[in-house]
Amino acid sequence: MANPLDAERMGGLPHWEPQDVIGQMTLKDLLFSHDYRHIAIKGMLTSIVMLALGGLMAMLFRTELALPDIQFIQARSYMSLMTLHGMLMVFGFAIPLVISIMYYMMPKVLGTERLLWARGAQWSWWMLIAAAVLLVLSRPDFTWTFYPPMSLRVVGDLAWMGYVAIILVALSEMVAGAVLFRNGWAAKGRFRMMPLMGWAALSEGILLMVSTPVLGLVGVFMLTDWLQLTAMFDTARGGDVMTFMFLFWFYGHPAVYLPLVPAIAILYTLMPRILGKPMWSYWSAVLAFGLLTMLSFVVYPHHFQPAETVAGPLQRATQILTLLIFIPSTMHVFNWIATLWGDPIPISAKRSVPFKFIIASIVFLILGGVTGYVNAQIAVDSDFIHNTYWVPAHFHAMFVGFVANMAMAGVYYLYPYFTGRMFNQRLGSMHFWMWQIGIFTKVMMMYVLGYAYFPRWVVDYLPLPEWSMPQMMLTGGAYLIGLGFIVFVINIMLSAKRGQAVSGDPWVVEHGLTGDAAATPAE
Amino acid sequence: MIMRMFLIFGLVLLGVTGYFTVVVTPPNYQASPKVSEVALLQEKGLLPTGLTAENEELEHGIFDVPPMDEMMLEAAKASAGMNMGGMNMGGMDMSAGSSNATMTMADGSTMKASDMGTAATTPPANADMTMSDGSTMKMSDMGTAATTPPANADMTLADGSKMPMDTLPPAPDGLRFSDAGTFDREVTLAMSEWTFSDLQLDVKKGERIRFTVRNDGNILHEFMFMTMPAMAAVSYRAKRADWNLLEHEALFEQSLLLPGAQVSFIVEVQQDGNWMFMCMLPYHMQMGMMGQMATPGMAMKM
Amino acid sequence: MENALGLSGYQAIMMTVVFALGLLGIAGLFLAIFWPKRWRLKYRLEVGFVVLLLALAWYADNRSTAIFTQYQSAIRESGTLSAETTAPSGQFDRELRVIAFQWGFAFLTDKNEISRNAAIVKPGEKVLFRIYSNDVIHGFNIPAVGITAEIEPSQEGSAVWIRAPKEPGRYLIQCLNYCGIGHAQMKAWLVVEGAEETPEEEPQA
Repeated sequence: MANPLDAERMGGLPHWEPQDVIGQMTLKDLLFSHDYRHIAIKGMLTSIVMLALGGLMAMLFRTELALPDIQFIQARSYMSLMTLHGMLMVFGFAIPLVISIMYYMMPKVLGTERLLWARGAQWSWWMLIAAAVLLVLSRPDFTWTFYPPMSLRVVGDLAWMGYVAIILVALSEMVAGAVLFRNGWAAKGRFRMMPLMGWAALSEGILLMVSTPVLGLVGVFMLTDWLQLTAMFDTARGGDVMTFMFLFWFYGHPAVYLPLVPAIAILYTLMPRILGKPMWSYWSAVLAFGLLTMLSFVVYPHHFQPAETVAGPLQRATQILTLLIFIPSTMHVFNWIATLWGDPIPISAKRSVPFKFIIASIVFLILGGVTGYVNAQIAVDSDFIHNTYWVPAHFHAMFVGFVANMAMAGVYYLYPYFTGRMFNQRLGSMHFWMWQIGIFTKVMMMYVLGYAYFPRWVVDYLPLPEWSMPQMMLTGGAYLIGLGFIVFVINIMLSAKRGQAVSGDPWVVEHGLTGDAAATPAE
Repeated sequence: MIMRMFLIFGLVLLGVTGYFTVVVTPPNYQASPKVSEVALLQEKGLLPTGLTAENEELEHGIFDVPPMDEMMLEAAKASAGMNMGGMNMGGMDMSAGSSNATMTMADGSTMKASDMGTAATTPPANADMTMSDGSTMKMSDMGTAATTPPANADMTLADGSKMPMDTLPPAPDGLRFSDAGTFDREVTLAMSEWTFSDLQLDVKKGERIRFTVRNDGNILHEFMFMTMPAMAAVSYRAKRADWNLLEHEALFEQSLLLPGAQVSFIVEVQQDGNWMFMCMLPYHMQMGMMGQMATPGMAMKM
Repeated sequence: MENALGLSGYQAIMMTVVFALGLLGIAGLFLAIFWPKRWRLKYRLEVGFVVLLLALAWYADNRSTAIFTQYQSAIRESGTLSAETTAPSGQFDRELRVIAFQWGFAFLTDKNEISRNAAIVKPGEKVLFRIYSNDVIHGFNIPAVGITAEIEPSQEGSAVWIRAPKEPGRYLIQCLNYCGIGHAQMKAWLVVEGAEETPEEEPQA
């Protein structure tokens, strides 16, 4: 059965005492404090600002794309918006937000009572800010995957800022990985009794520390190539594009699990807490973390699969391994569903906003994850998947549908602990519904467009009916997500001052006297 | 306090970034490769060198001309007499191309391009155009051949007889092109990324000039001569996704020049006027590959 | 739709599997939350589930490999482009060299005739495209026959072959890799010649 430490920790004890931590923070605390709550809050708020900025970029280009022909955004602006959207969302929002939530939770959940190597977390944040500043100043238009030689020949004089930003992101993430690993290593009960968040911290730490140096190297070579000091990737000067592909995607594939693993960890922490019972299986989760960590370093050629050089045994191996990496995530989903099914769900859970977001995130992990089955297959990938909208459909289902929803669950869950007040439930539900309808519309329309061969990275498209109608609906979905975000911001701002004060356990588990509790579990 | 700070900071950041990305557009910048892969393949003999013959199977009707072009041409010709306000020449940015563009008609009324509707731009293949003399010409008859005057010196009439060049009526729009013949002087234009060696050519009425247009760059280019109204007529779709899929007619067109290739032809300047020459591949022109050829006093400010 | 890879039926199976798994997962989740009856799953169920997934993975790998190896062997058979002859080799009826550049496609027939943004083929022909990129990474996708390639600038190029559609008309060819500011306009026609010259009313995607 599950870890007894889990039951002890997650079942009843609330860990923190609700307190207006954020209200008592000074500017000095914000910038320089090493208290884990200050660092985590800073990370969460910064990530939310980056979500807003990346989201604004999306709202702008979504408006442009709703109709064929160029309305108000020209090609260069469009690509700058698209590049900033991708980089800010992945590097600035998805990864830092879930890691910051882990920073907040780990000291209590793992039993260390403080964040070890908090200085590292601090440095990590500052480097990320520097990277974001450089990106915003240079507004590069080379897409978030900046393939050379194109990425060496665009942007203009400020291109170096984009490459340096990549180097800084790599450094920031590497340090964060070290912090996570250190804390995971110090977890109470390592290894057999360690809470699942500890395993996730180790997994995430390994993913970060092994992959980010390669990203840093890529950034350095991009800079030196651009300065004409080297010719690693510039084919016209003797370089090789495939070198870039292998190096970049060696980071790039683990990169997509960087937001996923902490989000899964938060789920494994929140679900037992909200349900008042341990997870259905401890070791299946540990096995899944381990498999994912190992496999994520060897599947990356699938990102550039149609390139001629991914041939023969390499191509076959990539296909097999990618089909296998689909499995750990399904094991997690199986675990969650089994946990939910085993016992009556408390009435307090069904009412709570974090729980709603958790369920929605699982739905989207399923919606995004099942397509992994076809994405992995070379034959199908060479048809309608590679570089059509099918690919963004898949990763938006994962990053927005799963990670963003889970991050919101985490933020809402922690909210009473760092503000001392409960947020407004009605606004929380409104945010929830706007997001789920918006994200569902968006993801489904993107799948439809991908199936119809809609190309990626285009500011304008042919006025084909199978393209224009879904684009219009996609834009509608995006607006809904934006609105939901505004509702979220209003909620967290207003409730910080006017929300109902809480003390003790804001997430008390209440089993209602409904038919749920009365039903006897089937064996 | 902290949350309010983040909110204000966030709003400012969003406003400033949005403004400097969408309103103040970053400039288009595209460096070209130091070496063209095509040139290397040509050295290996895998691709042909020199001027490549155009595929004879390229029939009419593969590339349509949208009916909207005709309307834009009328509007451009009408306003050509007054001013060149309809076409923004400054900075080589043909940003007049937008379906929301309004056109000031000759009688002062404005017509929104969006009134045309997007449906009009992809014409059915058997749309007919009504010519000024009342006869109709089937759309499918239109193609590069119909609009590019024959490069041969003599014209072959419908009954098969030949008509020597000297007895030909004046060429429409003032330029007559031919493959060979006498000429008064030679001009070499070298294309590179993203410009021509000469962006302002001064010519005299009655001159016959032998042009050699050479691709000195590392990207494929095309070369065309167009009148200013004709350019204005297509600028609305110059940045549209279907640009490569539609025809853009010209007084003279060499549809592709591989790096290193060159083409020679003779132009007779039959009237006073000004004409544009350019490479109209996507964004090549907007990044600078456009020049002007004009008789004295006819040059427009670029 | 004459799928270049020959995966029409197989694709339908795959999409069905995807839908089925997705529905199964979401149904399971909703049952777990809303259905009053509770169910304490046995561990062996997860083991069985993983075995099922491994079986699905094995099946997909087999079928996908069979499809792409037979596709690629046709290309391998025709060898590499040589300077001596440009006539089609192997089992192909027509061989076109394609230059993908910023921003358009140039097609060269074996007689070294060039056409810009239009590839002309006959209905049902087996056509081999040898694609070279002149400058940056480009894509080459023909939606009507369902094939995509990514071409990096190099001397090797990429090879893609199709069975041309039987229906005469114009079909879209598009670049799928961001290649600079003109990427959205980098499109061409695959022209399938027919009995009559009149092309289709609308471009088929």
